Amino acid sequence: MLHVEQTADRCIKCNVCNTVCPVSAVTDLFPGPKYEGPQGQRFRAGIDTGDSPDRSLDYCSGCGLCTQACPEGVLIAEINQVARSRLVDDRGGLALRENLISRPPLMGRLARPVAPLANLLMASRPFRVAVEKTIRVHRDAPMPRFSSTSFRSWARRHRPPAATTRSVAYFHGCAVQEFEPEMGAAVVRVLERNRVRVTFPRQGCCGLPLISNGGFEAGRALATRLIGRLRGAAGDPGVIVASSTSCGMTLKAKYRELLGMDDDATRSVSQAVYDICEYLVGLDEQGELDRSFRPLQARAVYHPPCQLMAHGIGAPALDLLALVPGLQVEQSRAGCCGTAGTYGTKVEKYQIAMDVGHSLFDQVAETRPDFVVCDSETCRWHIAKATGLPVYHPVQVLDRAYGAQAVV
Amino acid sequence: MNRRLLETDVVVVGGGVTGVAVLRDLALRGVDAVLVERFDLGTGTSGRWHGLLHSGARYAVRDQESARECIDENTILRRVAPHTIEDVGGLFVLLPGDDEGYAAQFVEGCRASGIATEELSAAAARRREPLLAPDVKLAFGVPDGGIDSWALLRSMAADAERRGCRVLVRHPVTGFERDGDRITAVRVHDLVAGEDRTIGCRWVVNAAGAWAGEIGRMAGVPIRMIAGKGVMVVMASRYVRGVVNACRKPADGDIIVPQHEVAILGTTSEQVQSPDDIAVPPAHVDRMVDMCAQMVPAIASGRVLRAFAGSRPLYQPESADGDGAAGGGDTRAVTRTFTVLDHADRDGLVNLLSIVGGKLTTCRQMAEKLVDRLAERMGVTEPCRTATEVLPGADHGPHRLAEPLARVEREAAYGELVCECELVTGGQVRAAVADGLSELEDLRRRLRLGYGPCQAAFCAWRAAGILAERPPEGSAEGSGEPEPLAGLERFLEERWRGQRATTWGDQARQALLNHAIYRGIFDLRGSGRPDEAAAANRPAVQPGEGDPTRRVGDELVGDSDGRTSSRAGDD
Amino acid sequence: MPADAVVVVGAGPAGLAAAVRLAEGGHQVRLIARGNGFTHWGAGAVDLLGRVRGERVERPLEAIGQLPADHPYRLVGEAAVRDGLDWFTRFAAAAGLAHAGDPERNRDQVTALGTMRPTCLLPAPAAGPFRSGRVAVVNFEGFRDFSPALCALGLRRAGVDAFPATAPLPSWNHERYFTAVELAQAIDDDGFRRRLAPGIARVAAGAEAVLVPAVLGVRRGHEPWADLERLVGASLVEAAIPPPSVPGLRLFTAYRARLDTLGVRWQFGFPAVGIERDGDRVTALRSEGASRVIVTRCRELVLATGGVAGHGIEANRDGTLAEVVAGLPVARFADRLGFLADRFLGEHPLGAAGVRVDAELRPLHASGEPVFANVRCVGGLLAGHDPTVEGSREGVALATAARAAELLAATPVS
Repeated sequence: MLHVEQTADRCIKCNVCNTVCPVSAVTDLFPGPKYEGPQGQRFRAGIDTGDSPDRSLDYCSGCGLCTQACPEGVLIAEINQVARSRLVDDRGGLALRENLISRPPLMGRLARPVAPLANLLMASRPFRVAVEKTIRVHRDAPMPRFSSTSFRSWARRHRPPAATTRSVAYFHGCAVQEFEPEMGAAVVRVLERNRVRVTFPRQGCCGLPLISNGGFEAGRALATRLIGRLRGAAGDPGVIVASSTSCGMTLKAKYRELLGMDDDATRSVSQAVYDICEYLVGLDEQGELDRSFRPLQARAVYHPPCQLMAHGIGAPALDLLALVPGLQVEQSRAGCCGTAGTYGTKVEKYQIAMDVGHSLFDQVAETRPDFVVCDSETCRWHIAKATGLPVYHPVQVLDRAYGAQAVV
Repeated sequence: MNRRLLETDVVVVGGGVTGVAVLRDLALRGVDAVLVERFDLGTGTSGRWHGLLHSGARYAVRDQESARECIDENTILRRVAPHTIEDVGGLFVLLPGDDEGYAAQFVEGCRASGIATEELSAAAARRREPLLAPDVKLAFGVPDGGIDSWALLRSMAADAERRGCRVLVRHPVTGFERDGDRITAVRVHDLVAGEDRTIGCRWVVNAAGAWAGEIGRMAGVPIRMIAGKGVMVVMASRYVRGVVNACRKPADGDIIVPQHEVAILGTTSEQVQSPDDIAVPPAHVDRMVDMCAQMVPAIASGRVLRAFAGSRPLYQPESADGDGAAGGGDTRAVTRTFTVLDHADRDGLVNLLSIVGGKLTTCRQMAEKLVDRLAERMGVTEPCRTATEVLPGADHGPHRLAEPLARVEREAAYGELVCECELVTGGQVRAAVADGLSELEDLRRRLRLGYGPCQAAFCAWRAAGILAERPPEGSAEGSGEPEPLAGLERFLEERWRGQRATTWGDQARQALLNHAIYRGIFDLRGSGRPDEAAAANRPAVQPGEGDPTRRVGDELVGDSDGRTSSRAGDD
Repeated sequence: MPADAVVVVGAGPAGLAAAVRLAEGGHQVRLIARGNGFTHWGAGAVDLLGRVRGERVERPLEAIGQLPADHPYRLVGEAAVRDGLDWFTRFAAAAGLAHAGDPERNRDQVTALGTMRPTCLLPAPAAGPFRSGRVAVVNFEGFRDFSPALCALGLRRAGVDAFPATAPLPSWNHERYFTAVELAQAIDDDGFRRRLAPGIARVAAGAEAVLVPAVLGVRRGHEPWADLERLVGASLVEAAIPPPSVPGLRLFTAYRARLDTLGVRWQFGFPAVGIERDGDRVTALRSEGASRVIVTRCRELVLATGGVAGHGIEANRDGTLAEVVAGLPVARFADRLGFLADRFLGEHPLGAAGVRVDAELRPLHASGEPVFANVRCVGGLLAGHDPTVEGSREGVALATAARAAELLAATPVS
């Protein structure tokens, strides 16, 4: 039994988790985190794991708002994730769909040589309908745009500036590598503007999509490989910044909590990881952040992803965006945008994801900002599709405010 | 007011597993019998124990007769009452510091008693029990299991009733009517109706377990019983898949028994004055936790839910062969093999038989031996069939931990849960109420309502709401309308009694949240007596004296042994 | 976050009020909390002082004068008590959550068990009259957390002419499973209300007032209740139910919105685990992060972590207590049997356990000296009162938050 499962002991049945769950709020297919997590856990701890009955468990999106709200320290969403992994084990492994959608590097690599065509297909309704009928990914689920060039090929050609005062390793994640290399470039520019030298250690997928779908063994293989590749950077330069807040979260806590990886290398890597906004705010606290932002006369809605809140650092992007003159930022009132990684792409969960995000989309519609800001890539794609507005990572906004030409 | 309620052939006194097994055996042999029980079935020792379905291995070294009885009955119970059993196996683990010589004797003793054992390496033992201490050296697998005594009682009683026998709960025996050397009737008091009644009979079986001596006294025969109190600690979650025993001479804190979603740590052994002494000294709780944590370290930092005590019904034979309980302290040395006392020979009372000693696992066999004797005396020639005749519900198969969750999932019944911790639905509660259950206590025993970590915080008042739906009995005026809040308060106080010695950490937060609900939101204050303990952080009781969980005399307010109903001034 | 921030730990009734008031006073505030608390678990009213020595209080402000000198109300003074409640009334009203009542006199709040709990300020949906005339006690079909039979029984004993009824719910997307929260969210929708009202009116026919569980909307203040009352055509009164507290959620939503508007930084879901100090000043708060301890510098620290119930004080197996953030002195017990009364419904010493403070809300050593110069304690964390037994939770939260804001307003902001 993992420590995570033992935290079920702390539950005092107070119902706080049930008040924040965005999924049980919109569908009665999910009976809420208390039932699924600490309560159900007491019935799973037996010898007869062969008859895991948890159908409703599948509807947990893993957003983690319950874990955050729980005053007793029950790791509710994590209990659910472990239970899901046991369900997957009982059934002999991940289903085809989960296997496919949980491997962004695979999809990216296959599509890269034919990226324009792949993007055309993804935008083609008949193709999407066919995909929905075969693989059961919803026809309207937002798909990232494949890129013809990978981020690492950009990084290989990139020359760091001469005058730097410190170094960080950049964990860019699959989204930047396969779909949004320009985002990664913005991260590098912003760091270099602040006289930080960026290194690009050999890395790979953090395994989060596999882990969140319950494929712990497959996820563990990727995790072990990634830790092995990053452990050097954890020592030197000693700071690893992550621009995908959910991947950063995975490195910080999920290997330990969900996979039980408790060795020195995993520990040292997890302690060296910083969310990019967390890192920049840290620079600012030392008086080392370049605050010479140009005015950006714009209005934005900022949505802190649920995965970001799980870092325990609040929403550092708010402090950074506040430094940009002219930029008016309204904070989202929603806890979760709904997509929760791959969850919202599934045919049976898509509507739930849209319903969960409804209040955020309404707020955006009322506010009519120029763009939306959000730290997590799957959230960005989901919000962009639903609102029709551009959605940027906070660092892209800073990049623009520093004078970059592209994007914002 | 004294009415002759019934005439029957046999009155069985005592609604524990022994008495009910006797009733069932009689029923299967076509004998007309009535069982009388002072509170509810299983409110004596049968409801206050750790739930171990013995393989007998615990006795294999020192008491092979007991061990053999256990394994035989273990096998029979699995056949006739599988639905009351969790078929989870058990381990005897050898820790550093344990006597390896004992382990060798253990293996030999099991073999000699017919108990199959399987030696497991430390790694294999930990694969079976992932939370076992890392320093376990060796383990032996045995056919232990868990057994739900209330399920067993209900099943046996239902079988007896459908064959024409009667079970009268809340009918304590107040005396016997004798005519020379025979008992002619048993006098009882109907607690619910508040009336005395008489049951005419030709034979009486004293199956009152730890209270057999008191029944004997009423009948004018001396039966010396020793109350061997044992404390058990309930953990909020299960920790182990099967039973885990320490492989050493039986001592305090050497067993962890999984029971549905919890683990029960056991036990101590202390001779006390009366089996009604169910006080739990906090030091015993600490001892259980510390000792069992040697086998499963997570227990040391785990959440303790409650603790309870029960008395083993130990018989001390009159013939002073010096084998009785060695003065006072440890009662483990007294034999646990049962004894049938035929009072005709022994005391000149020709139609009374008593059955004393024994353990739950062997209740069927105890009943068989007693009923064989009785049948002989009665001239009944039907043989005993309880070893082969399966009990109602047996086709359900053994209980599986995930079963309640599977049922709720299958029926998508999450919206109907009354007790969320134990996954009890409103439908189940209503069915039990339709079956005649009218007290939250009864619902607790039948459905496990209130057993979980929140100790009835949310289900108590939901269930009280369902009870309040019943039409009021009697006239619309006066005593017509039921007292649902009084019943609710009583139930909460009963749940509380088991928690006082075990509340710290998570459970303290739970207790205060519960208090904030019932006293804070609902403004319930119970009897309204001012509570001196509230003044200035003074301990409510000095440890070791005047323990508030102790029952004194007839004061049975809100006690888990059953409801006292119609006493005037009941609070 | 600048080093001159005020850090508030705890997001229960005291922490939320303190954070808002401090931010309104011009401070840069960061609110750190391990999770939600008593806003979500209460009856949804403002309890000022409900009972003293078991006896019901009619005039709470007056009764405060009779409390022991170390009671939080006596420490902060009557002016802070009044100020706390006045501020709250204005704040809540501005958020669409008007409250009835005044600190001079207690009121009755009806509960789902048909009992009347003493309280001081009641949100409008719970404040309607229903003692005279016929009262329909109406549950919504399938809602498990309210028994009209039980409630009506209790009310009849109190002399109210009450009868139970159940109103059907219109078809909606939660027929298989719902709690108070989902029902309240549905009632936020005016279309749903229009379909709901006729059923209520029908089963409540003949009643002057209708008592329902407290589920009448959660995201739109009191507007759903007011609208439903109009549609039903009878006085609608919300009865208090066990957690989750929908009225509490309404208030929490209002607090969150205000905190966002004021620019208070919200760091939620992780416990505070320690402090950094320089002599007798706390310089930073340490809180758990996903992989590291997060250090938040602060100029002032306000602890609103609740007593044992709020997880601000840990009750250990051996009878000792520990304040979890800064290790502040807390009186211990001889052993754990002293924690609790012998009756569940009695008075538990553990409920009154807390940190002793001076009139400036600074925690004290046994000697009476403040432990830190820049730490204040508010709310349930304070010794000298049991918020459940005396019915004072929200009042103490507001009064001590008021005092903390006043004290820190006097400290110059650099």
